[in-house]
Amino acid sequence: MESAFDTRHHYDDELDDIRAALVELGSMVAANIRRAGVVVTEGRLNEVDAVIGADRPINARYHDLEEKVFTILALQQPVASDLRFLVAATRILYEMERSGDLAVNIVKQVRRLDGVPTDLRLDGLVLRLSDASARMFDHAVEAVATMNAAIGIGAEQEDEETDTVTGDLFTAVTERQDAIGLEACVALFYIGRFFERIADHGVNIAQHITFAVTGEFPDGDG
Amino acid sequence: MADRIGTTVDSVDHTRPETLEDASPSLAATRSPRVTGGTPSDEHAVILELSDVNAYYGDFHAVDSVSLPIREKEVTAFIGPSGCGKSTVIRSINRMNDLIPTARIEGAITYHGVDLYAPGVDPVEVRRRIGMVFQKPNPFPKSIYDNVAFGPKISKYSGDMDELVERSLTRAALWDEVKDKLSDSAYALSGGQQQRLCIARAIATSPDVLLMDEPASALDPIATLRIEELMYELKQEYTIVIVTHNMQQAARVSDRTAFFSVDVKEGQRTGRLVEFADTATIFTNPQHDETEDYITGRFG
Amino acid sequence: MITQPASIDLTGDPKRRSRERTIRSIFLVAGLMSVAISALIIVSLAGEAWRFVSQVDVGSLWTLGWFPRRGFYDIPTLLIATLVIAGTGMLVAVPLGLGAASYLSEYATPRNRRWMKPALEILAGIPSVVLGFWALTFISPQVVQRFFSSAKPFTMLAAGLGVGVLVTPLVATVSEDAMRAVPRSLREASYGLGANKASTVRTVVFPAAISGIAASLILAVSRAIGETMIVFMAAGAVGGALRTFNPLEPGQTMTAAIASLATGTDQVAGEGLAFQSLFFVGLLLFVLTLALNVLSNRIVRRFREKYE
Repeated sequence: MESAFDTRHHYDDELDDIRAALVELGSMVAANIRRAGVVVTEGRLNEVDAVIGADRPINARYHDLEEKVFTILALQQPVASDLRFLVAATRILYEMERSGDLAVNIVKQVRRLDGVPTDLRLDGLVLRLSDASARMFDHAVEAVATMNAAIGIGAEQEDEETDTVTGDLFTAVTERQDAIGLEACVALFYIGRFFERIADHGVNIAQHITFAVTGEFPDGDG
Repeated sequence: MADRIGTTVDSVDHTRPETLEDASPSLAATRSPRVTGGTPSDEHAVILELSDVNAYYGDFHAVDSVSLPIREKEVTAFIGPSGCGKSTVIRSINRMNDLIPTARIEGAITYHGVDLYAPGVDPVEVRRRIGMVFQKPNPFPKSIYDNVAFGPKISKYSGDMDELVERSLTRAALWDEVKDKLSDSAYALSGGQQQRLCIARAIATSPDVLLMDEPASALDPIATLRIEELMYELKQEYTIVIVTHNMQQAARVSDRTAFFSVDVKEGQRTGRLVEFADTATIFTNPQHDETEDYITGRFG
Repeated sequence: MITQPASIDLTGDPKRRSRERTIRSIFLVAGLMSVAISALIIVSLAGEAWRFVSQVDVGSLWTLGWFPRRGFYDIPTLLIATLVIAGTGMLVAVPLGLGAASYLSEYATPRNRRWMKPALEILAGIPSVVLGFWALTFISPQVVQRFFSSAKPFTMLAAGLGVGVLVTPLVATVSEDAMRAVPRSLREASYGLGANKASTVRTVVFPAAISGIAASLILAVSRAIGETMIVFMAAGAVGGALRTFNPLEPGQTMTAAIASLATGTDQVAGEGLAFQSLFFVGLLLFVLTLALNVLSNRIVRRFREKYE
């Protein structure tokens, strides 16, 4: 944000800091999403608490950042791209925080079932799903880091994989209803649903960046 | 089918962390984002303390009982409607009100613990330590160099004057623009440059407090933002008190804000301090309805 | 969208316009008149002065003194006396006048200023005859002769001091106006930088007011050179004077010479070129004051510290 008059260095620094903090928060959430995936597919019950514990600093960071954005909005009277960015930042913060919560919810399902009874097919689908949603989320964080509007524009399409895999997972779970029991079915439905939601949040984050950069939301119901 | 799934698994395996600890970001090492505008820390010492300050012009009670601390290396803003006494208060801090024959201050203003209004305190000495920048840029009708050198010359500065002039102009973010025309008249500069020259001139006497009485009200928006940016830089070294009728400016530049209001009693307009808090609080969650009404533009 | 009325009359009132034209011509005539009168003075001065220059014996322009009746037209006598008296006057008026101006403008409480300024202005209005008489009856015996017991009753010093008293209020009031016109903001800037009153006056107010102050001084010099009555009464040397630089001697200035020749104190009509010499001296005086004015303009432009 080099301006010819170099008038608002300090304010520019503040905005840069907000962006850097968003990337950092996003990376923390992404890491927890991957860990949640591992907990599910490998049944690492002993690591459930670690995932839940890791969400605490995420929440703290989220509240801290939200207040900072709020303060900048109040004190610096941002306009135009700065205003779009800060408004997008509040939404992105929310999406990130929700994603973090979803990762926690996923591992809680695992604990409730005392490990998910599964077979190779289900394992594979859950693995694919967790990986796809984590990748979607990574992409979103990348969009924030680089202020890349293109990622948000292609996000909806990119997310189709998650939707497909989720569908496949639901079908597979339904087919094994008798074998794994109702409770496990419900848990797997939840897990699938949560991963899919995480991917959706990723899509939204990327689209908020598109809005911040271009002033317009990408087409589609982001 | 198992094969297919297997390959799929393999294809994504590279992202899988070996242990949770490996993937866990080291929270201690992550830097806390440097974002100002939150609550300023109280670690800055109180450099000026106004206690129960009343100002009078003749029989006219202009300011009623103002008490507030000013911390060093912070920007403290005075805001409020016209006639609220904010200018009177800032001018009482370096005894500029002494120049008005009928003006009288009651109460105490201590600077590093010394009462500025105690008998034996020389206002000239006070003003060398507590400099002032005025509403309208008021450079002397002299060269740029002589303007900056004015204060040091008066106080018999014995060091390298050229070096001092350069240093002061550099701190005021003006050096690059004027270094080739130091002997030109100060009036050849633009309004914003003149105001920065006035800041350089004030800095040259090495004060530790800078009082700014609506320093940007006569400037265009870009020049205003430059002055604000400069204030942000200057507060690393100086304590700044600014009076502004521009609330947004107070929000942008200050760490703490004092909101003054005015009471009309029997035709007399007496200013008083309504609320003094850190700027973020004043602008996000003021404790007084009057403050809220003023900063939201619903005043009166 | 602004709708235009069908026809709109912007020609205004013809009577008003013709009245404006009339007023303009009246002022034009007044302006031309003053130029014409000045020109007339120069022409009439120059004519007689030329007669003097063309007919006078050049040797008589450089003699021991100014004795027109005897044909000694020593112009330096008059110039020296003029300068000695004006110089003495300025020695009095500059410190007193500028001091008074500084006091009134910077130091005086509003209450003191309220009576002192009008008092000064009244002093400026005292007729020079009164001052001349005062110079003769007070300054000469009480001041000049007290310090210089050998001094005569009529001296250039006494006249010079009288002229000084005459122009002091002029210097004071004009300078004070100039100093007060210096914006308050400049003083505040100076005080804000820790300057005291004296250095503010010296380094800020004076330089900023220099054009007005210089103008007041030049005006005072012109006035001192052109002053007649005090010199006529107190400097002595009526009718003629020896060339001298000594202020304790009587002396005759250009103005006094003209006055004594023209008032008949000294019966000159028909005495050679004495009458014409008067025009020559007058022209000289005119040129001198003109030169001073030009000089003052130059100085003012050169040293002006503009504050806007």
